[in-house]
Order: sequence, then structure tokens, then C-alpha cells
Amino acid sequence: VQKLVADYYESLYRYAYRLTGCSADAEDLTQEAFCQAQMKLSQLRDQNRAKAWLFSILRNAYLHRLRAEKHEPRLSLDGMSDLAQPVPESLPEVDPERLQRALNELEEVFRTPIILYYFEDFTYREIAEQMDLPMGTVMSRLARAKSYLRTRLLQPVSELATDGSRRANDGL
Amino acid sequence: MMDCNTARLLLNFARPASTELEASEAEALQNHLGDCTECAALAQSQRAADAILKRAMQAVPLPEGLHLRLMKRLDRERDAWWWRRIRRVAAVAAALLLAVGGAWIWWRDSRPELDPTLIQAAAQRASNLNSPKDVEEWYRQRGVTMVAPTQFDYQWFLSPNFGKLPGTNRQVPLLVFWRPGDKAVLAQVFVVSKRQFNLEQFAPNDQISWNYQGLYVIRSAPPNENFAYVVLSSGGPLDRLFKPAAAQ
Repeated sequence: VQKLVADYYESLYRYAYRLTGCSADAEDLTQEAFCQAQMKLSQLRDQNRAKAWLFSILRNAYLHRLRAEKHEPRLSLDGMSDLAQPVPESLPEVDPERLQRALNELEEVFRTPIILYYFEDFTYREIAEQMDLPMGTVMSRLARAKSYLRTRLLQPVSELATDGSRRANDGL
Repeated sequence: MMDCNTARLLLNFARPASTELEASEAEALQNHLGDCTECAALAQSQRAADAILKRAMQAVPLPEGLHLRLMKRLDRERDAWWWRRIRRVAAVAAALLLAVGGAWIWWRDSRPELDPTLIQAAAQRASNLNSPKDVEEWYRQRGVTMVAPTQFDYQWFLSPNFGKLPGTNRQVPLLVFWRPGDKAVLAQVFVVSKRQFNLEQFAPNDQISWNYQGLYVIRSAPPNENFAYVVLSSGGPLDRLFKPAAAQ
């Protein structure tokens, strides 16, 4: 388990942070995930799948906490289109904290795949396996989440202000 | 030829150096992007947007000392796990020991003592079967018709049973007589029937018809001459087990 910690603690902590939006919760979650991994180490038969296995343990631990907590209603993207939307030509860098706020507003079912997609370059198949979902569902959720993040974070501020009513109608 | 809507849908799944799309889809998309400047511009801007979002997504500072704290926590958990395991094994072992100990004590205390005095008293009382009729009824209740020997004194009757007649494979009624005393005598009486064995060589006169060092064959008297009694005796003389009249 020491090697697993050395190899993956950074990415696991960052994943946890993007899921929870809080460094203390992220550290707790990371510790819990490694503790569980230590207990279940015999279940890991293929070392090449160690990362996906650890991420899966962490997500399950997170979902377990989520169910135990009362939380604010999150944003659902069910009404959004899967089609790629145009983005402005000149793109600003995104403030990581602003990104986190946008992620926090998302339902977990959209937040997890988008984090896994951008953060660790997991394939669609790996994301589908981790979330125990059909690949088509993952692809659709990812497309909507990407579209949401681009619209939310990469539109010029002035455009965002004038587009407020339209975004509301789009489920944003 | 791929249309723009399909191409824009697939753009979401087309990552550089990725094989998410089927080869045919990826090729068709590339062909479309080569032909359609609008979709090509969109693809370029999407990739740029993805690169920016990816950078932002990964920009999570690590807390100072995280690795050390993780290792310490894992050490604590491992120690706690071992203690839990040791306690559990110890509890199971203790429960097992208790159960085995209890069973052993129960077994030790539940065995009756072997008391010769009791055996002597019980043997002298003999059984509650006090006559040939009682013995015949005992066997009849077990589905066996037999005629008990009449010359024995049933105050010395010890127990009815079944046993294999030596030298044969036949299970037959087995009566045990025992008379304690200075000339104690024990006799096993196997009751054999004419249906099972040819008894013609033994006369049906209700007398001892053969004596060979403790082995007797007694043929029952008419009208019940269908039975014979093979007696294996040891100890004192057999007539000590007979009724006074028969002994004479």
C-alpha cells in the first residue's frame, strides 16, 4: 500500500478536492480511501488497474458521505443539448476556484465524469465502469457537463450578464 | 458524408491521442473537419477550451505534509486492524475453549459410575420376565414367534435379545440366564426353529440331547417340537439354572 500511496496520493487528493470542494474533506476522503484500500488490498489483482480501483474506492466513500449529509439542491443538466457549442475565439484562463464553484453547483452524476475526464484522462469506458453506467449515458452526461463548464467559465463576463435569462432557460 | 450536426456531436468525444471514437467515425470526422471550415474552427476552439479547463481542473495545491499524515494514519489503521483481529481470534478461541471445556465436563459428569454392587443387585433381581410366556410375549411384540424353553428356572433369567448363532449367519432370539453364587453359571440360549435349521438329528423329547464341554442342544417337547435351544454355558453345572423338577 505504501507504493500505492506514493504513486497516487496526489491525484487522489486532487480528485477528492474537486469532488468535495473543501481541502479538509478532501484529505479525510483520501485517508479513508487509502485505509479501505489497505484493508481490501487482496482484491486488487491487476496492478495496472490500481488507479481506477483507488478512484472507485474514493468515489464510493464520497457517495456514502453524500447520502449521510443534507445538501443544497444541485444543478441538473438534463435539459441541455449534447451538441458542442461555439466558444469565443479568445479564451481567458479559468480561475481554479471559480471552476470549483461551478463544479459544486453540479449534481454528482455530472460532476464525477467531468472531473475524471479532464483531471486524469480516464477513457469513457473507464468512467462508465467506475460509475457503473452504460457508456452512452456517460457520453451524454459528459457532453452536457462540458458544455455547461464552457458556457459558465469561458464566456466573457459581459456576455454572461446579458445571457443570464437564456442560460436559465437552458437549464443553467 | 458526415453532416455538421453529427460532427459537432462527435467533437465532444474526439480527444487528441484518444481512441474513444470508432476508427471509421474518427476518419469520417477528420474528413468532415477537412472540408468544413466552420466545424474545423469549432473543433479548434473546443480543444483550446478543453486545454484551459484541464489546466484549471488540475490546479489543486497539495496540503503541506499530506503524504506523511497519510502514512501515519495508515500505520494507525493497520495497528488497529491487527488488534481488532487479535481480539476477534482470541474471543473465538476463548469461546471454543469454553465450549470444548463445557462439553468435556458434561461428558465426564454424565457417564454413570460402574458400580459392581448395583450390577450384582440388578442381576439378582434378574429381569421382569418371570416365565416362558413372558419371554414369548416379549419376542411376539417384536414380531418374532418363538417358544421359550420350559426347563429353565426364570428367576435366573437375565435378558432377552437377538444374536448371531456362532458358526452361522442367522440372527436368532438369544436368552441369557445367570445364577450367581459359589458355583455361578452363565448360559446363552440361542433359540433356533425347524424352519431355519434341520433339527432331525435331535430327538424331540425336551431333554438335553447332546453335551460337549459346555455346549448343549435341547429339543423342545411336543406339541412345540419345532424349536431347539443351543446353549453355550460356562462356569458351574447347567442344571443349577433349571427348575428343581427339570434338574432332577
